[in-house]
Amino acid sequence: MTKNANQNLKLLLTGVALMSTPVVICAQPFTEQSTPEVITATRLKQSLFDSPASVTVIDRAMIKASGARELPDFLRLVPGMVVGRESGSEAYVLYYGTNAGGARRMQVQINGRSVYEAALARVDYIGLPFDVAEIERIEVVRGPSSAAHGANSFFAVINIITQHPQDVSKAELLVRSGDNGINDGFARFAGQAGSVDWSLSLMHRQDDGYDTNLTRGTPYQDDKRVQGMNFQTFQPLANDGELGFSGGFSRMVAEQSRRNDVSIYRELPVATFDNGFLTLDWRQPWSAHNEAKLQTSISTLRRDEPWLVKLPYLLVSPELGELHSQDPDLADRALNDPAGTCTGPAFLTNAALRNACLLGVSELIAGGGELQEIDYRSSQNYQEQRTAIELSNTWVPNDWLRMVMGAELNDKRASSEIFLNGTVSNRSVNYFAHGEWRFAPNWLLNLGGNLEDDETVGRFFSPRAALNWRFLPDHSLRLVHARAVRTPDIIETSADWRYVARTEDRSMSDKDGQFYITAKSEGSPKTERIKSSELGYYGELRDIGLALDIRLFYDELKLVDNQIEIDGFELSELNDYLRTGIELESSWRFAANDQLRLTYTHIDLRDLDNANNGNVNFVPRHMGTLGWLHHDAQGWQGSLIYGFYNNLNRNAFFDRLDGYIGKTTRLGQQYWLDLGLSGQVRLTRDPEMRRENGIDQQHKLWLSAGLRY
Amino acid sequence: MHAVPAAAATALRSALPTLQTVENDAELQLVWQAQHYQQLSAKLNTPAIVLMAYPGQVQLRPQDMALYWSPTLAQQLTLAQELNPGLKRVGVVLTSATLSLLPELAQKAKAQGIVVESLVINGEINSRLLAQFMQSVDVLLAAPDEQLFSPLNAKLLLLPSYRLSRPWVGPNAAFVQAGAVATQQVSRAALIQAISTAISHWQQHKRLPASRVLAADEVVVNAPVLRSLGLRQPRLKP
Repeated sequence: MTKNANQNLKLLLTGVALMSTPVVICAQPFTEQSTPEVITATRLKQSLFDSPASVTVIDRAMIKASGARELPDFLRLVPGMVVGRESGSEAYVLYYGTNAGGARRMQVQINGRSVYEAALARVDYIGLPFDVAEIERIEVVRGPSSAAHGANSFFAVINIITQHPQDVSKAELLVRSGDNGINDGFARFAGQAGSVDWSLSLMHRQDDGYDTNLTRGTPYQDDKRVQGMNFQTFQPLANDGELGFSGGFSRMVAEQSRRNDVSIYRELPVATFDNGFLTLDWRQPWSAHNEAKLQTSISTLRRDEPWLVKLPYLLVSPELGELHSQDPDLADRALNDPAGTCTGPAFLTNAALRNACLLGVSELIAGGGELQEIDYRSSQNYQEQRTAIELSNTWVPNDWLRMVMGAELNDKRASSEIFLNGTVSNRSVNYFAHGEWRFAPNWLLNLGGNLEDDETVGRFFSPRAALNWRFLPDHSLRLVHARAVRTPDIIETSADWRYVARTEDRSMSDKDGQFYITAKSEGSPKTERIKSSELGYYGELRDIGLALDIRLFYDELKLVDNQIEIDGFELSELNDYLRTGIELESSWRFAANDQLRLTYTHIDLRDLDNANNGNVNFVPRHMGTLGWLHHDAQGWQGSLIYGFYNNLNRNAFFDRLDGYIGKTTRLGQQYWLDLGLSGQVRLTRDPEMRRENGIDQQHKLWLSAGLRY
Repeated sequence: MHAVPAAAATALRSALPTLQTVENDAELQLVWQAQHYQQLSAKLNTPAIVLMAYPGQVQLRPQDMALYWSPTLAQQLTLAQELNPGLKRVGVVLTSATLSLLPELAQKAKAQGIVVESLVINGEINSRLLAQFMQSVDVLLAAPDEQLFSPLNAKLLLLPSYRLSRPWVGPNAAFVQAGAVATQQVSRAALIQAISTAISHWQQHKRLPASRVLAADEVVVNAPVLRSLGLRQPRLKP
């Protein structure tokens, strides 16, 4: 109490004394009701001023304003994120690119659950059991982040956070329809049963993918159809705890005309991907300064891709297989020039060649001068399962210190007759700790590390240190050094790859065999490493609504260029690369409901060992986006976003203009109608990422209509 | 209940243990909160100083005065601008009872080119509607409504704001403690001083002075929430 107030209180008391009749407090005795501390310090996240890495946040307003229908299209808004398509059903998303190995070098999570597939190290961005209409926001940590996000958080981490059942309509129906065979449907129901909040979503997405296979000049059969469902429940617990339970399942059916040799197929291969997951999340504060979290999840993936092929028996015979395993070049020569090879000197000295040639001759005789083709059935099937348990505790003892520590167990199991000749499992344990120490008013030190103990490849430590200096109230500099590893996936460590061929006509089962080319993981797959240094700036010129993030990066990389293909399977040595560059992300809120967004990245990747392998193929030199986004309370949403990259996969240039206009209208007290028109225009004719990916028309339009209650 | 009168009550009680509840022979009554005044005004036979949140809550008897202690929405807007000088859209959440406070806010916001969206909640909170509302504003202003911003509703109001990263400003210190980012308030010292002045006036003139709005002179900040949202430390000098 101030001195002045004390004097006044004395005056008041004096006055009371003089009156002899007391001044009284009227009404009921004042009882203080305590408001519970809902947003405790243990729940809070770091702001962009304090973050130990560059972070991009794509929030709900941006998602609504963009009008996109598939996850990769949102990720184009992240600076440095190379986004393209392998085919209509396979997206390529990788921060700063490098090789064709898809998501191999990035961690992707949905609500904290990794969707990084353990067996083939890929992420199924298209077939996951959720719709973009369910995304609340996407947070992308640009830079190694093993200290906070565990294994394989190598180049970047994408975390997708879906909407809470409390924040969504009770019932919702959405359809999209337009060019390129786009026909989507989404329905969601949400409510409260007792104290449990729940939501249930059903989804359907389909489109025709690309139109023309440019390398073959044939129609591109890569149509896909995704159907799925997911649910979430949240149960409040005593003392502000919460128990969440969620699960989902989806099935994607996708045509696979991308296969290299189309001549052997009797029917176009069609892959069916079944994705499923169950997750249990438990969060419990156990004191004012401590909160424990447990997340357990089981994720499964089953790929079922029967192949109906027509082959001569020779190609699946043990004789040719034996020859190929001894001398692949000789086997190829024997197939390409049978007369020359089988009459050459090797015929006399090489028993395997002799056996193959003799079989070929006998097959020719039996076929009346031609190799008789037999109808075979093979497949490209595999299934995998990941069980993860993560336990962590957040401790915030005071205003200047915050610590998170915990452990995560990952049990990965993959089965495939084709890729692994059986079942392979791998277990790893990660121990992680991360601390934020505000050691002076404008200074913050982030220190963290992740110790990964992988039963197959050993033990690795990935540290990160970041110093943030908020030198002005709205401006901060950060200096970051982080190291991370990418441990090999199951197919790298354990490939035993063979296409088993069984005759359709089982009376000819003596002609069963396996395709003569096989591959086996031999030698030791290497663990990739990154040492990343960053000088970053984040600032806001609030008076004019401008936010700016600049990142200067210097990354020392040790990467492999593993050829994960049956023909020429190879586990390479580690090669050194130096990656430097500059990246910026800015948004300018020039009006209440409008923002301009600019991202730009310049990447310089130096191949220090002159390895000249695939790791330099998918690295653009320049890339960026420029977009306008509008979202207002009257229900109008809209955007116009231009994005480009150059120098990708043999100098391809890609650019596209995406547009959207939408309006939400309230119908009476209870209903909302959402209408929208989305469009994409390709401005250049270069194929997107892969040379096959051709389109008939440069633009694509679709309408969306939704009703919410 | 509001933290400000609570603090003052504690201070008054500890300073003057003889303070009692209603007595028939009191010459001056000090009444906390409008609803209590409403309940008791018919029984009161002496002048009363009424502490209430904002004008218009109840009709005062001619002999009584009110001290309005809640910061106005316009003052909370000033604070929100301190936290985020680039503020362009504010959402104000109120009830029909506090709807009268909106025009003053709208006027100030308009003068500064700030868009004001309002959401009136009467009765049960529709969290879906609230979440949708939050998505189209940058910051939320809480009207001084004890029924709406009650301890019972705190989770329903604060958790969506946490999930969607939309901070609440106001309505009082208790709500800031619970998870809102900041509020302006009338300090305990200022409130006691105002009561004291009113009593002195009554002693000298045997009538109470005119009702007045107390100027908020204190800012309460939830520092961890402020840091987490990357907002600016307010330097308000009311």
